[in-house]
Amino acid sequence: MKFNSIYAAGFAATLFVSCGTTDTEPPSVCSDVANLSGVSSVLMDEIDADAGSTVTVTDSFCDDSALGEVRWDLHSAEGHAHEEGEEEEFTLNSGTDWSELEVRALEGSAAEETFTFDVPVTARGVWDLVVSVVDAEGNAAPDVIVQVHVENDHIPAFHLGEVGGMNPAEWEGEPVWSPGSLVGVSGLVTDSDGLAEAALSLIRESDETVVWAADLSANGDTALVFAVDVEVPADAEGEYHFEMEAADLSGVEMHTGFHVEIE
Amino acid sequence: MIYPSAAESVVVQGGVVGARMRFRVGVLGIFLMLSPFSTLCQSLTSVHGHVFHADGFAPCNDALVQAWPCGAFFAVDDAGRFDATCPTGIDSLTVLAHGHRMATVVVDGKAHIDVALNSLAVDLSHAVVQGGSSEDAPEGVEVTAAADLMTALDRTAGLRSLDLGAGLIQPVVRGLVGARVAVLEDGVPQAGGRWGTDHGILLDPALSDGVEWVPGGGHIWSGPAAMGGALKLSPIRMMAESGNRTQAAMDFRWGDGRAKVHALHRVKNDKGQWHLGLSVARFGDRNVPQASFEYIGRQFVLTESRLPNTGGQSLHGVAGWRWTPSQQDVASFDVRWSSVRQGLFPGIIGIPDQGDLMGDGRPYTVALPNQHARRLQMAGKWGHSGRLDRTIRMSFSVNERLESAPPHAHGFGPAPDSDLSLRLGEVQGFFEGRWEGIHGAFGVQAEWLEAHTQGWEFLLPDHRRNRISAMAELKWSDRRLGLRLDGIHVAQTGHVEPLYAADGSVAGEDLRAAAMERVMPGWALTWYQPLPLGEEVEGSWTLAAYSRAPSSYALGANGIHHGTFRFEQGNAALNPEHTLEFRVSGRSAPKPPEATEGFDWNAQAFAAVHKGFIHLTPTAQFAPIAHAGQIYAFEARDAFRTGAELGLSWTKGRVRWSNSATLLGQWALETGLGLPFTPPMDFQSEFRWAWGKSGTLALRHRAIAPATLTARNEMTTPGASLWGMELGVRGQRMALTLEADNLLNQAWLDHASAYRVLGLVAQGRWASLRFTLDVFRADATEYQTQ
Repeated sequence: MKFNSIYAAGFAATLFVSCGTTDTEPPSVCSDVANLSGVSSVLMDEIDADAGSTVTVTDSFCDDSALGEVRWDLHSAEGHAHEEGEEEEFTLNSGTDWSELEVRALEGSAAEETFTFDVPVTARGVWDLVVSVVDAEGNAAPDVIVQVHVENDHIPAFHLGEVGGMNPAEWEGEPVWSPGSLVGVSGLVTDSDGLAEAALSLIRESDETVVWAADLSANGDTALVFAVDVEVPADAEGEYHFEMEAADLSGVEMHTGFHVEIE
Repeated sequence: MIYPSAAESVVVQGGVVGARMRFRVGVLGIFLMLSPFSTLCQSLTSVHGHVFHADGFAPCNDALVQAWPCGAFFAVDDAGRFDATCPTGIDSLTVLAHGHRMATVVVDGKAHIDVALNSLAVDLSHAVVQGGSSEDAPEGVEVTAAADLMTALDRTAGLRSLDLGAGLIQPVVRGLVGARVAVLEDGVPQAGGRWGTDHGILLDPALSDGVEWVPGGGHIWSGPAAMGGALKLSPIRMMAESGNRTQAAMDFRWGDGRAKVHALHRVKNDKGQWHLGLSVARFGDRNVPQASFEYIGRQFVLTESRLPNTGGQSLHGVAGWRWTPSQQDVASFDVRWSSVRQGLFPGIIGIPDQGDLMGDGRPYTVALPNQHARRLQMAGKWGHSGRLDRTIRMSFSVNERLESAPPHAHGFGPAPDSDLSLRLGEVQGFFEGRWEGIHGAFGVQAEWLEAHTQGWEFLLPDHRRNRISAMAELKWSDRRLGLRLDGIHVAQTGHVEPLYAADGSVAGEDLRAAAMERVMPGWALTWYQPLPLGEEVEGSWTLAAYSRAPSSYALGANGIHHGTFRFEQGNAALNPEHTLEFRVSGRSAPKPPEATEGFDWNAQAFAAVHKGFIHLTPTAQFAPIAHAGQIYAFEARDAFRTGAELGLSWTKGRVRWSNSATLLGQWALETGLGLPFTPPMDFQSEFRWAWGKSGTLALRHRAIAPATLTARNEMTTPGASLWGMELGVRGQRMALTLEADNLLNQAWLDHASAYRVLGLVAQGRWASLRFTLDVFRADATEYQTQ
């Protein structure tokens, strides 16, 4: 029995000695941010972009052995914060369907790559650019995220003053409305080309049914103040979207809004 | 005529024998007597064999064997086996048993003799082979009884639970899960997407008569899937006497607000018994001592200290009957059904919105995303005892698993118009024929499974899986040698989806799966050997070599698996993996009832080398679709696993102190990295004090070591220290138990949890009040009340 124990231990030790070793060090985004001038990088605090422009993000990627692939994933940043305690401004996003995704193979242990994207003229708000890197062994670096703030002078802009008696910037999470209630919504719509039409509506997300709507009289004004009382149906319950749409005199349309929970 | 002595086997009969012939016979007889190689002329000092009932061939385990000429008595064991020795040799044996005619058998040089005893009265209580049967797993370990499956698994050394909530629970056996663990209900393997770690098993142990787990692989009757081991649920047994029995329990758990009721009723008369059981539970969102968590660099808030949308409902039922048409025959039929519907944490389908995590004050509501699993199973068994005991099992089951999520598209293309992300429908049939005698057993198993998938989240294509196996097992003394040969046929259909351009137009085709059909052989060879370690210790060792064919998921997966939060890719070219495993176990010998004080211990250990161990490993590629991340692909790499479960208890008067430790190490040999989800060392301790005539008070502690043996990209997990307690009062027919766990409401990460990757902690403090009832409506039974 004792001999068998020694034999088994020796067998196990031999097994471990014969175990291969592998690279477990993940790659990294190793751009020299200090020397970036006029160049956007994912390591910046944020990237500012204008709708209708082309944005180029340049970064360097490093690994102790060999790089694998890099992925850029650009999508709307609605619905989350980034750092604990960080105050996020309430933002009305437009054109949130826009996204970009690109995967590219990398060679060597260091590479500089550029990611270029065109910002559509219908986009406004905050987007997340998530950069992911893996090396040839499959080690994954922590994702690096930078916010892309898109400004837009092409499309009308909605600015909310109060919703239900509260400044939306003070919201903690989603607004919650009660069935059968009357919710006051006030704000401003602007467009330098003049407004052709504007409308507000409350839409049930499950079937896209419009349960309340109101048209705003535009008359070609460059700014339109509105204050409406949204009548929440008595039988409403669940997930809804408060939609705000507008079109300017040059035919450019936009829509934006925010999510509402009715319970 | 020459009359041979007992030592001679030469007989000459009839006619006049000449002197020359007499001389030749005499010389031959002397030669035979003096020949050291002839057993025919030696008087044996040891004879072993079996005693069984001539009518029914069941072991006669209360017989006595007297050896002559020394006259010593020897008792048979539960398998009817005896070992008789006489220093001066054995000429014959006398076998006695109450109620049977005495039998005298001439040994006649035979080292092994089986003796059939005829009854004085024909009355067998049952016709099932007891002890040493192939139905019994000699390495089986009872699973700790608890109010629910998750708790039972986590309190049993060697087992863990992997869960996505109270309704979706998978057993982890020695670090292996899913398609590597067989879940057997009366020997029938359970289907239902077993390959998915997020696919909970559909059963309630309260509707069975006991659960045991069998460690390791190579158990020839448990099927080739039992690689980590098997979880075996005993069927509802027939009561020994006519009457009826009702077992029921109700419990409520503060924490997640789980309310559960179950009842199992049996009625036995004359030769038959029927039973009906139902278990219903409702549970709310899981309470967690966590206010926020970080995922992919984003911070999320949990406003109600609950994981939103993790509540649900579960329903399990069983109805069946048992029938003994004759003393030799037993027949049974069971219908089992289950329905579990549970919400899934919003992060399961990608990066969640903060709004989804705010909670709505309705913890029992099941919103999107969610999973709904259902099954219906009909199983029948027929057993006939005779020279060979015959057992036939047949089962047919239908399983459906629906995964629903807010419709979303990955990349370009239209958004889906339904909530159904994945539907997995499976139809399974199972057949087993088993023939068993005293010296061994043989049999066949056949299994077929047909699966269909639907939904907008493609994961794997329609597939079929058929198996035919032949088993043979040889038993002598307590040793067993088993062999199983398998033929496994797997097939899958091809699947193509439109490929969309940025403008939403169809730009081509995306081949998600190619059609495939293969036949793969399988096998298992196992030697089980008891270890003679003295009177105070019982032990055994097992050497097993076996193969396991890749699961249909490992062959055909290609998509986002919501339950594991990543893109998983199969490989149709994977070959069966091969394993050599050594297991050893030991324990202190059972004490007589009047001497239970003192120490008891048990230990099990194993070491296994796997060639071509198939598991998911991260690749150097990203998935070609949005929200999917890195591709995890099934690859075959050699692995080594080893571990042990140790138990030590001490009993003195009203106090019992018990401890268990589980150690496990699993490595991929090529890289030296750990295998995924390797549970860390776990040490559990319980101090139990019996007060008064029926009360007990227990204090528990569980220490979990940090998990540092990790796979590539897998996070380490800090250790945890968890306290629990139990206060109970037990009467003859009822019991009331107050139990609490995680008393200090500690936030701890479960390394084996599916939510670990999201940084979500396990359940916080909970307390449950449980009332159990065991009512006999007629005659008392042989069973103990709870």
